[in-house]
Amino acid sequence: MPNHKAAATAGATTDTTMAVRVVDLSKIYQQGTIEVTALQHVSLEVAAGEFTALVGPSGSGKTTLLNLIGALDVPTVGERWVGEESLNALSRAQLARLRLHKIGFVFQDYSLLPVLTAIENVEYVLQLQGIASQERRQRANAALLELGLDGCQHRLPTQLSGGQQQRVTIARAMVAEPVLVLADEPTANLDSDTGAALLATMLELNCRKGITFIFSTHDPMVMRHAKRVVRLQDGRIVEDKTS
Amino acid sequence: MRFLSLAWRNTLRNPRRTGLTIAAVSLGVTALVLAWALLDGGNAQMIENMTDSYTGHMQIHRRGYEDDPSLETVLTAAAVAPALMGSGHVIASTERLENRALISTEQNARGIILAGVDPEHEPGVTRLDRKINEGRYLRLEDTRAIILGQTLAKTLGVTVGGEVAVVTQARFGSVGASLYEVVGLYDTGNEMVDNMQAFITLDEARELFDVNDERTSVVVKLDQRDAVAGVQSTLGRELQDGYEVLSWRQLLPSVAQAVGFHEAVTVVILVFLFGIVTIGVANVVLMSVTERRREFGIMLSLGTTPWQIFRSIVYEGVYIGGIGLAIGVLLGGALVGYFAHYGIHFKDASGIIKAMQAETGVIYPTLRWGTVALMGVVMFFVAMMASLYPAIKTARLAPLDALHGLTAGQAPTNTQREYKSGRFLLLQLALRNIWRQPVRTRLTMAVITLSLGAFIFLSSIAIGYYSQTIENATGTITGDAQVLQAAFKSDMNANLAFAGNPLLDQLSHVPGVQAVSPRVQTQALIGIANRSEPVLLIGISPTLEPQVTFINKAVRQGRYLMEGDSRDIVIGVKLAELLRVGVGEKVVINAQDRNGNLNSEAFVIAGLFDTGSQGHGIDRLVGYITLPSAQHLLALDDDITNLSLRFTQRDDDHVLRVVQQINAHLGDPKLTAMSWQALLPEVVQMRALIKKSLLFVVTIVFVMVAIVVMNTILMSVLERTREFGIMLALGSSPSLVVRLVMLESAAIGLFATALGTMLGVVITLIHVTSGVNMAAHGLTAVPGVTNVIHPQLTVLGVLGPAVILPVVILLAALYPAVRASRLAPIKAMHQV
Ligand SMILES: Nc1ncnc2c1ncn2[C@@H]1O[C@H](COP(=O)(O)OP(=O)(O)O)[C@@H](O)[C@H]1O
Ligand SMILES: [Mg+2]
Repeated sequence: MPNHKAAATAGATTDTTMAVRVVDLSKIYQQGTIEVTALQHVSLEVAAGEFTALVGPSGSGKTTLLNLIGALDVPTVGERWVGEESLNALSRAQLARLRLHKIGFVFQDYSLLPVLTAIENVEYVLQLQGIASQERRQRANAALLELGLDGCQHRLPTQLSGGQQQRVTIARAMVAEPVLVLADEPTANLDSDTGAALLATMLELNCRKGITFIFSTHDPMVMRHAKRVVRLQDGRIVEDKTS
Repeated sequence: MRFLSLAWRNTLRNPRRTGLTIAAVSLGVTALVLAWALLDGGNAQMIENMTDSYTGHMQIHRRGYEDDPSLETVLTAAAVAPALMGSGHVIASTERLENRALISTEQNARGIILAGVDPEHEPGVTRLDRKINEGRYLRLEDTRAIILGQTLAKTLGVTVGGEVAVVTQARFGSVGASLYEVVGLYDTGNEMVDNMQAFITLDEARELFDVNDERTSVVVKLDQRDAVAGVQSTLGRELQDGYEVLSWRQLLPSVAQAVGFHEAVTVVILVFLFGIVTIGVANVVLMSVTERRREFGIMLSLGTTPWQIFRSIVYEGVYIGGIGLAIGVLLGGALVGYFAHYGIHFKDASGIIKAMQAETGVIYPTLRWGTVALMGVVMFFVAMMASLYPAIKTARLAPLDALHGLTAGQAPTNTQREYKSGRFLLLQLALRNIWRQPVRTRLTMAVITLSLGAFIFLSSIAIGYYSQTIENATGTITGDAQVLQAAFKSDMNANLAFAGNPLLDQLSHVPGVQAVSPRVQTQALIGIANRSEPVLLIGISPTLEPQVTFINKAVRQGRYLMEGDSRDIVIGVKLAELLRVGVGEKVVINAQDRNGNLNSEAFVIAGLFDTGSQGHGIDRLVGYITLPSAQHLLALDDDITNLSLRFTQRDDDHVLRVVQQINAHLGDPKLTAMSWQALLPEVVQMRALIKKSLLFVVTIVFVMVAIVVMNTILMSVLERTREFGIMLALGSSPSLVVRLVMLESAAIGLFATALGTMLGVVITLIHVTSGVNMAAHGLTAVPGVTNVIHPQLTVLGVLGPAVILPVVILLAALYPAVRASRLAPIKAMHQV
């Protein structure tokens, strides 16, 4: 069974630090009287520094899994760890703190705050962490430069292209130096060139800074770049391949 | 009607939001319907009670009678009968013979209007016969019978079966006098009728006044009050020049004024409520339009015309306004129906309502379908207007912009401005968020600003109004307090006089007392050849009195009294006008002396004073003579009836304290010191009523502001649900979200409060010196009320609302804020 294999892989790498571990995760959505099973008995371990793609057809449970890992949603059954921390025991406020300090998010569609400029969007997270304004500005600026957004700092999201907006989102996700960046179809709304460039940026960040990435995609081009590909179908892991 | 159904589906799309707006609209309409019906009902009752108890709906006189009522300006009923018969709405009419008279018993005397009525026909027009509390109404065959109000009877110390004497000027200047037996006492609740009138049969009146077939008035009742204007013009045309046809509005100007005042209040409330409704509808439509920009982009790219989009949006506003209106009318109608049956009780205010000529402290609201229809039409247009802005805004969108438009809210579009983020990111975030919908923010702020400004102005007028009234009433009539025999206050009988001279010096040494002045007061009749009026005659010491009251400063023509004047009198301008006399002319005073004898003495008018009082105020009711001449007139020797006092301060506490001290000093157990509050209960009542109505108005203003703010903030929170989702996903704590929303409302609230306070203060200051002319409105039954009000700013009146309002605003924002913070991140992000 694929999930047994995943568990075995996890067991073999207990010496390296784990970024994420989920065990026997299931998620059932209640839609009126109808129950929709989005995830069934999923177990997965992702080591720190991995660059993992979740692939699978639409409706296979990618977003659901990412939301569960990112502490945005609660599983019907199963346990989750981010770093050393078990999520199941945490309160709303504690979950918010965990997201703030350990996880960065990149969403499929525009998720920048529309009234803030690019640099302010990036700074926003640092401000939540209570970092002093000068350092904040410096780090946000550095993050934007790293993503090739020089000159865009003071533009509002509406004044940026789709690719630029997604790069600001990534800058925002990694500026706080999280354990983990979760990206749900980050390239879905971009043309293929822009998508490829964005992926290259993510890969580079992964190599250079060792940030753990888990992202979902159904773009074959993106899949090819991933070191590890976890394939989902009907809410189960059907393949877990490391190249 | 494709767009009608499209609009309908769109309003159903967000049931909670639509429901909220409909609730706001229907609440507003309900309040409106109820307020309107209440004022209408109060007005109708006041008018009915007044017209029912005495005036009737209309009266016909010989031309000139209204200005100068006298037995020389008379008509015959036969001459006007044909015209009356021809008029459709007239259901009854009756003849009267009215004249001023002095009514007296051994105990007391009063100036009244004595009306000779036809016992057969009078009950068809007025309802006095149904208000008899003791004894019976007049009968055709009665001789020497009179009926009077219970209050007057009490003053005269007479009951059913007792005897009263009446003295009057008969037709050709001769004196008519007669004795009557009291056969009935009535209580109409109408002060004028209860206090200042008495009724005898027409035949008796003819004899007393020395008149044959002539009548002073024909009183008419119509099938409906609203027909008055029409009948008035028809009758006017048919009767032509020799006659005057007067409606109740002219006969009862103070009632007409009060009605006008009530209507003005209604309009103010109306404007407030429509403001609320406009903002509610505008908010909801604006929001649902903003969040559907992409859709409109698609519609536009598919070839929909801007006009079609405009229409479909306006329809949405109309649906919401229409449903809200329907619910509001039903709810309001039900409430009106309930209260129309059970009445709304105004217990504490009943005194003043009485003074305003209504019957009791219970008001039965009435609903007129005409007003409801009018309201429906206005509400319909308000809803249309409210959706106009979002409709235009959307119709003007370029398809591509709309397609690429943000899903939520509108981001600032100013490309020139560079956004610098400072340390106060949260504050900046809040400020930028509120300017995302500048029109909505401005609208909300406008409501707060205008409400607050209007309220501050209104309250300073009200405070100025009662302060001035107190100033005037105590400064002319009472002083700050008086020392008298307790019974004298209501009786004003000369036999309650006492030796005041020893007290004079003694009282002036009581701490807190500034000056003391001796007085002789009595109710008298002042007259010239064929006309007389009741007067409150006050004998004063010309040198001491100015230390207590300021009537000497109010003399506008002629001069004030001097020591040694024995035949001089100073009266109010309004009274002089009524009597048609001027400075230097002679008047005759009739008054009852200490021994119960009616004395009559001639005086020369030395001066006329004008305090600017309204209606039955002091300019119309009071005359001053010197103390010795009053003592002579009432056969008092050196005695006085009361002492009036001025204190060093006038605040309630001080007055009460000093009055207590004086009472401790008074040796004579029969004497008592009474504060102006005790002497002028109607003024105190008016002040309490004004304070209460200010509280009522401020509550309404605050509730409305709270609804507007809550609506605006809730809308802005709901339309940003996705953004809050992102913020929460990024790790913002729920409390931060609350703080952000609260900060936004605080920014709006504080700014608007500051503006509103400034607006109110500025408007008030502009009017402080010039004053606000209230001649057209007002409570004319309260002594001391003046026509020009100088508004007064008080710290409490300005800072109170300015402090409480932001708190109210923050409380109103709390719900939307907490809602936003409780959002589940992914759900929130998936919305829209
Ligand atoms: N909020 C929800 N309520 C009900 N069903 C849901 C909800 N979210 C996702 N689902 C269902 O769960 C399954 C997995 O969805 P998702 O995780 O979004 O798939 P993917 O991201 O791979 O396209 C789908 O069948 C989807 O319809
Ligand atoms: Mg998905």
